[in-house]
Amino acid sequence: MKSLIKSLLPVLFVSSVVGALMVSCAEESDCSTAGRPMLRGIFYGISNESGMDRAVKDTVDWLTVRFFETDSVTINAQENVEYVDLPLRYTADSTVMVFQYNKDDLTQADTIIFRHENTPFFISVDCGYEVKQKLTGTPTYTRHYLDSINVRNQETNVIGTENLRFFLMSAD
Amino acid sequence: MLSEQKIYAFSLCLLISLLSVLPLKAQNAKPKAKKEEPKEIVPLFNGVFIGADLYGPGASLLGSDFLSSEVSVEVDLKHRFFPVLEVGYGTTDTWDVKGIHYKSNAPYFRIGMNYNTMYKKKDKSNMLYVGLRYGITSFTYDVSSPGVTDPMWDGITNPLIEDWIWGGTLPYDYKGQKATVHWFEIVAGVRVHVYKDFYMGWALRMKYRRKNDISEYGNPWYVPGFGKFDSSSTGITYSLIYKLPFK
Repeated sequence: MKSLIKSLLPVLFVSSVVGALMVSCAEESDCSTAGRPMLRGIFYGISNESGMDRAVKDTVDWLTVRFFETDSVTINAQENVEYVDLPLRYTADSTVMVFQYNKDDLTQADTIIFRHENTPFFISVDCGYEVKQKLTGTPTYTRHYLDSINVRNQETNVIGTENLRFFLMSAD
Repeated sequence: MLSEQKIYAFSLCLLISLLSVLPLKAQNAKPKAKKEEPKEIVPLFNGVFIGADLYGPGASLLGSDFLSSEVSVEVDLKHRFFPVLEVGYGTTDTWDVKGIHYKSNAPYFRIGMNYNTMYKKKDKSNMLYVGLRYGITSFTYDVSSPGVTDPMWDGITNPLIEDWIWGGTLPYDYKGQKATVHWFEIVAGVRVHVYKDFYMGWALRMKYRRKNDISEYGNPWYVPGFGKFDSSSTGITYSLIYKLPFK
């Protein structure tokens, strides 16, 4: 009996210490991946400096981005804009946005229609859900100031991966 | 200056004492006839152990979200190698305070081997071991978050997936999502003899997820036999073990 107690005591002690450590570690949950996934679009222009057309990063002097359906604004009168992060709708398979380029003349604008699919995705009981969104084709758009849109990556993300290249019309 | 002299004197004394002791020891060391100890012949097969884990049910009784119970069969080969098969059943039915309901239950299997680091000891009843396992489980899981009735708009909303930019919510109710998960375990543990053919032991397990095949609608939260779905996990088993009375 004595030897039994002698051998069981350390086992019980170590088990309880390790168990307590495990419980304290298990309570930490990393929900850093949760967040609103967005489409990142970067503005580009075409440079012909060396005699060949080359895509170079560009800026928009003034920009407001409006949601077509709700008339609310996601980017409000920002200057020297290099890129935009655009949230797509969770509850519809298309999202329409209006890019306005001139604060004095709001008709100087382009309308872009993004078609996409939305898939709710369960992360964990601690972190809840996210919505995975994926473009289902090249966006359709008017061409007042936008020359073209190039899709680089179809899936929205929270880490700023480039999804779209917005090529602006050249000034001349 | 005085202290330096003391140090020299002390060092000299120490050196002299060491030099005087060494030859004495050498004189005392008589050449011994080398005794050949009879080599212990350990049979290959030394029995089968059946174990049941008590930690999983205990943790569940103390409030864990998961209930896991398992049995193991282990074969003693030369008191050194212990091939082992573990079969268990893990289950959870959890409601989160936010309103997420997660339900899953499935069997799991592990196969591997323990290595007894104390195999040279004369007392073969206790062991301190390290081991490796390969685990696999295939299971389904139900995840849902019931909608809430919006009294203003008279609609059902799911506040857990709310579009706070555009408005509106998405429902989430996906039952029978399928997943298969494989993992490796590094095990370290002890086993002690308790009474007659009964033993007890605990093992600490570091688990590393190898590959998985999961549903397009979400991660599993609980993986039977592995624990919370992550790249790695730790676990404990505390087992009551019985040595079958035959060799």
